[in-house]
Amino acid sequence: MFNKKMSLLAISVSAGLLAACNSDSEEKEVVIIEPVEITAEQVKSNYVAMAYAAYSDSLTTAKALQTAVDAFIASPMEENLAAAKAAYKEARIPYQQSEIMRWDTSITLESNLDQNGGPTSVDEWEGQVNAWPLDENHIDSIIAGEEVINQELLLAQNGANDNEANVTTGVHAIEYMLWGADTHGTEAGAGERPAIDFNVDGCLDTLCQRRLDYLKTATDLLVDDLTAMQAEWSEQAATTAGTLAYNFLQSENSLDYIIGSIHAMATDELAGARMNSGLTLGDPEEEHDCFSDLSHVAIYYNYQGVKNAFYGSYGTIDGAGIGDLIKQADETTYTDLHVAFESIEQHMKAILDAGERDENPVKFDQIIGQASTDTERQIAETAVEELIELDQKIKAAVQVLSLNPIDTSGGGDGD
Amino acid sequence: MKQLFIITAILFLSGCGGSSSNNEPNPDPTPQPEPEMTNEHLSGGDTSVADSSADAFSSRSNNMTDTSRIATFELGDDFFQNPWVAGSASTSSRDGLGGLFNNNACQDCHIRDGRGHAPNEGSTDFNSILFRAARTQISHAQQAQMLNSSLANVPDSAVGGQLQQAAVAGVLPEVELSVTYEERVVTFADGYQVSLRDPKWHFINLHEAQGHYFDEDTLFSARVAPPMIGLGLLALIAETDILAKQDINDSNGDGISGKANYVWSINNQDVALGRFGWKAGQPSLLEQSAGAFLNDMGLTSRLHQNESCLSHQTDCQQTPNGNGDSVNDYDYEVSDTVLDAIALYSHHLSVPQRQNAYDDDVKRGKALFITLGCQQCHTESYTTEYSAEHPELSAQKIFPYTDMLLHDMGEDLADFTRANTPGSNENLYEFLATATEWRTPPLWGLGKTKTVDPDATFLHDGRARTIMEAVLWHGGEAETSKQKVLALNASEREDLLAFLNDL
Repeated sequence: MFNKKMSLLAISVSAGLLAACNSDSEEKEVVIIEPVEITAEQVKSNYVAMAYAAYSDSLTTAKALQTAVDAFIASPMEENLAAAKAAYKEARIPYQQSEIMRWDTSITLESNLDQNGGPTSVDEWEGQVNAWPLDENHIDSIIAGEEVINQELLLAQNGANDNEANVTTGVHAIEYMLWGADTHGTEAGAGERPAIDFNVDGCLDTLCQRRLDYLKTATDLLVDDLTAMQAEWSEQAATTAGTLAYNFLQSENSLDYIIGSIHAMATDELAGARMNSGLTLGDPEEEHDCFSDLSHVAIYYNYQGVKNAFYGSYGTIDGAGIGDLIKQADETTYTDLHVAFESIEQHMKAILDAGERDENPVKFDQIIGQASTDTERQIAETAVEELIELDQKIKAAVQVLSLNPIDTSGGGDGD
Repeated sequence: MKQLFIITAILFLSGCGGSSSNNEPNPDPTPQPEPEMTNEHLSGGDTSVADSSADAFSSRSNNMTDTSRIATFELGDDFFQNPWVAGSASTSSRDGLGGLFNNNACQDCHIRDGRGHAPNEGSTDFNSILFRAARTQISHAQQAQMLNSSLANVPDSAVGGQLQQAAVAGVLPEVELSVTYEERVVTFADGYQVSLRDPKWHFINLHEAQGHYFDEDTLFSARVAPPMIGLGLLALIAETDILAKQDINDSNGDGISGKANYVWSINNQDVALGRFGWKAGQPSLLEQSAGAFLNDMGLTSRLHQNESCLSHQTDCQQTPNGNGDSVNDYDYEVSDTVLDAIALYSHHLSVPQRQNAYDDDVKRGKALFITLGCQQCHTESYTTEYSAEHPELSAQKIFPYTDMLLHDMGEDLADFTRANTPGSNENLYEFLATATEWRTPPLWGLGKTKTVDPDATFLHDGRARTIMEAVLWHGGEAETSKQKVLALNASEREDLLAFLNDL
């Protein structure tokens, strides 16, 4: 939306300047390039634009997943299951980037978010869309049960018995339905649920129809949830009281929120929960996309979300980012962060490539099982280290911009 | 000129009246002397974090820079926050919850690393409070064992040492809980009134149908989850400093008789000074954490390898365990790596800085705190010992406001029978601690308690909705000080609360 190149440069042409070394005293035209100051307002409105774009892309890919799921349900053959899995993978790319917006703060929680009928809490919404860990026994017990499988049931059963691991909805529930449990540990191989689990005609037990119902219900709910969240960040939302976009733009703490989100995603989530937990414990079940073994994709795009917030760019958007403000305030602090981001990018890209290559791919649960001297393991551990070290540089940025810590709490998460 | 002088004079007068709020613009152009800043606002020394948001209790020690230690802290944080699941789930590092439990995630009781709360009347929110159970009609031999720190107490026959109101699928919880409150109005000398609520706890024993009744002589002890900040610093207060204030028989006649609780250290297989928990029943954070895993969540670890199910709770015993994980074989549910990460995490949740320590009203409040006698138990300051294991916490000047000793707080706050009648100081409850004794809790972070969680309540059972209510419940050894509080006038009350709210 906001063209960064235009914002940084203003070309002014000044006529009538004398050239010092020209004895002719002729008038010369001099082109002066002046950097235009980036303002907090520009950063904020660009952030809103990026949020809208990320959620829009998440919705588009979720709808493509829905189409593929519907095709599979109509004809539950292996090829259609493979197509649905491919669509699931595509949907991870924008959604994981949108996770940089997943925290509740005072901006979201106390602000009449339900005024417009939309979600009242980002953390609660996120709990419905991407909750982890997921105890698949709970989903299995619903499928094995008698109650009609519909949205009401899934929502009622989400977090049943006050246990947040009883996750029934969202991305990982769909992932479980498409792949099934991964029994390969740290060896190659993801979940291998056969298409026949869904084939009513050739059903090996009595549950195929219920599995179809569950998959369809969860997918449709995901599309509904993303539709609701997209609406919170649109251009119209930006001027409508009671939306996330509006609250974000009105708040004095938005920059604090952006920095807080960068810290939370880079250190607590990526370095901590999403990468290092598995690496330290050696337990492949600690990878978040454990059924599909797509964590290498998920974490790469989580990291892109961190960079998007910093640089102000996402997809075709290339506008003002908080990095620009940091650079204006103190070039050294900016450079420290920029260099760090580039270094981490190299490692995260290497992990992504290792998981995607055709020849002997190495997925994240395999990295978890590697020895500390193995190639991908070393890359992952270095990435974790550098993500943790990012924290000190982020603190420096907080100082140069005179920001304050903002709570990124929500639900049971303190961070 | 004359007009200017008058204006200046008026502004100057209002300036030295001691305006209490930082938010009021100060129109006084006359330069005031800077209040003397010491390090008092750094309640946790160099570990203190500058944060007054709802996350104020959730940062690591501010002086921790080693990346591998930070990684361990983050690992502990991950396992502290996230839910544990019933045995045999595919997230095998996090499974084995129950059979019986109180809550399934540490942070669901220690809300945002702060304290929990008591439910209001009619509420079923017992999610951040639990109840211990201990018998009082015990043999001389058992009593001697408690006094020589080899036995914590004699548990109740029906429910053991702790009530669990939740269970995994297929297991019957031990109790259903509810509470009612009796109002009690306290009147200050100047007529100002505060309403207190005295809890009456109601237990339905769900196992009575199977013939398992509470023992007649059991006393119950209500325990709200305490805040998690500054614990590593408390662990490094020198034992000699703590024992120096012990005065069990009140030899100096000041009415205060602090007592150290000597407890059994499972880790060291020896007697040790108790520091943590409402009655200082645990000697270290490692052991406190392992005890909480076992009793509050039904999770075994290297320190407690047997489930807490009682022998007659066969459904509990038969629940699938979560031993080991998908790559490692170990005969308990919380791996060593996770337990140790939780222990490190628990050492390093930092205390937030105070914001107004040098303001006049806060300083007046502190002076009152001292003349009222509060600091006799709420000791202001120490310098921590050196620790090779925790260099960040070493040699720090800290301001926790606790002497870490047990004190008799009076009958009103005592552990209670099923009929809600109080136990007495004759009843041993937890090693050397009696039914009326409580360890002085630290006061740092007090003022941010409700920022972190608006629902938080004070005292061991969460009965006090405000700091003033908590003060007014003080009895026993604190009765004299409490009586002096009742003599405070309105501006003194304001100053005292300004101080307490700044901690």
